[in-house]
Amino acid sequence: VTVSFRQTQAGAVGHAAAVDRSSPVPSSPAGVDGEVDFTELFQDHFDYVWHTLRRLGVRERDLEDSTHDVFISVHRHLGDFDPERPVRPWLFAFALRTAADYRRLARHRVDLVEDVGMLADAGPAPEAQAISRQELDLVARALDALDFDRRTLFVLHEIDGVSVPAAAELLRIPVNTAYSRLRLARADFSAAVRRLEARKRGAR
Amino acid sequence: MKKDAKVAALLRVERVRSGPDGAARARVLAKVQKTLAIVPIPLSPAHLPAAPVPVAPPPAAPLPPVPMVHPLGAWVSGLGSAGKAVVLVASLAAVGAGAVVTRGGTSPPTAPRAEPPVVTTAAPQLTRRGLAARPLEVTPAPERPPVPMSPPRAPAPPAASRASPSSEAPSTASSATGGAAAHTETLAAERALLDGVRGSLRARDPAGALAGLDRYAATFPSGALAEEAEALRVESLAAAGRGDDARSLGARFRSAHPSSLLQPAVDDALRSIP
Repeated sequence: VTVSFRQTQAGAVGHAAAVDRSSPVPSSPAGVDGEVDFTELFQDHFDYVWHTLRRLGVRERDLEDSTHDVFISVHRHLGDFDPERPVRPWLFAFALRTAADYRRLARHRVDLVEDVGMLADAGPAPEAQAISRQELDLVARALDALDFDRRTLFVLHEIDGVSVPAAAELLRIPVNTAYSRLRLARADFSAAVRRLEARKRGAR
Repeated sequence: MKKDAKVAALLRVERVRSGPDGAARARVLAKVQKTLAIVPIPLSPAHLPAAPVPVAPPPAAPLPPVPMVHPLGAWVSGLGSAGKAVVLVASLAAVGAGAVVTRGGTSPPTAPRAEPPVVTTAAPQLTRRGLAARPLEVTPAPERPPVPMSPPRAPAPPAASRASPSSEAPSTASSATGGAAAHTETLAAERALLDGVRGSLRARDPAGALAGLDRYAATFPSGALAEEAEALRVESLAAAGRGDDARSLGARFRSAHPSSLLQPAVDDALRSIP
């Protein structure tokens, strides 16, 4: 087999932009020649996938493996990516599948919140510096209090900012269902925050 | 309301959290690249150039991967994560080129894994890179998998085999490597394959799932994750409406793996059969 290895840097730049900003590239949409640059996708969205998995309940110590799994799936379906659509919700669906599988495994069920206190970020983002580690944990714990379906929608809409109709489409649920589920999720989340704060105060 | 403000503040912070440290990122990237470098990419005719180039017959023995300096190699080693050049782009290009064909333009992991060989638009360069980098493994697009009621292979449970470097010979995928490392890589490849199967199932594409399982069985005849593959096959058969096949394999699964963690999933699948 004769080989011609075509270097893809030139093309990759344009496509990465398309991927990242989800703007259509009329002349050569990434989907047509399949040249979404996987490594750039990885670099641009590693943090997002990581956090999404965490928000969906993957434990800290399993985040590396799960993130790996997500990107392997992403890689396998790279050609499905529609550059005219935003990339994050697309990635979210992969993370959701991985997180759901993760939760199904019996060995993970026992102590999903056990190590939520040892979140190992490089450090809080500038805006977050005023907020204590404890408060970050609060979000994780409150999310853990949510039923998985509600949690999924909550993360997608409240944290990722995906519109309810778009989230409903992604999750394949009716829009009305999504609205009512979101209402319940918000109530659950607020209640959990209240509860956790009360407990915190009580512990002092 | 005060509480809402509190929640809003928490969420605002959560939205802008920074990621894990660079080392974690580098480790994951290295692992992803490692996995992708050996995942057998099924080259159905759909992955070949549009022009009627005859498909090379599958070599009797798998070729070692063509050593290739990856354009991202420099960047990768800059991260200090990968010691060797990784054959990566080629495989993703092949996957991408193939999958594009079936894209419905809708939401995510819905890609049917078994593309019928009807492509005319895949980019030749991508395909060629795919061909070159990979041991050629032509699987006929398996739209209608044979009833593969392969006897249970009595594998060690995944957890156990993961822990011990077993002697199960990895077949094609890792012939170029050896030892425990090969085993780890093989396991990763197995996982990736089964992950794809699960994706197909989730995308309600049981034919794709079955095709993936056939690929799994062919590539890893004594794979460490065979038990999982069997469970997935039961689910796939049930989803494909092949209730009798599912039931009979399900029964076999139960006797071969009496204390399987996957039994609930198998039972669910069997119950779903009308």
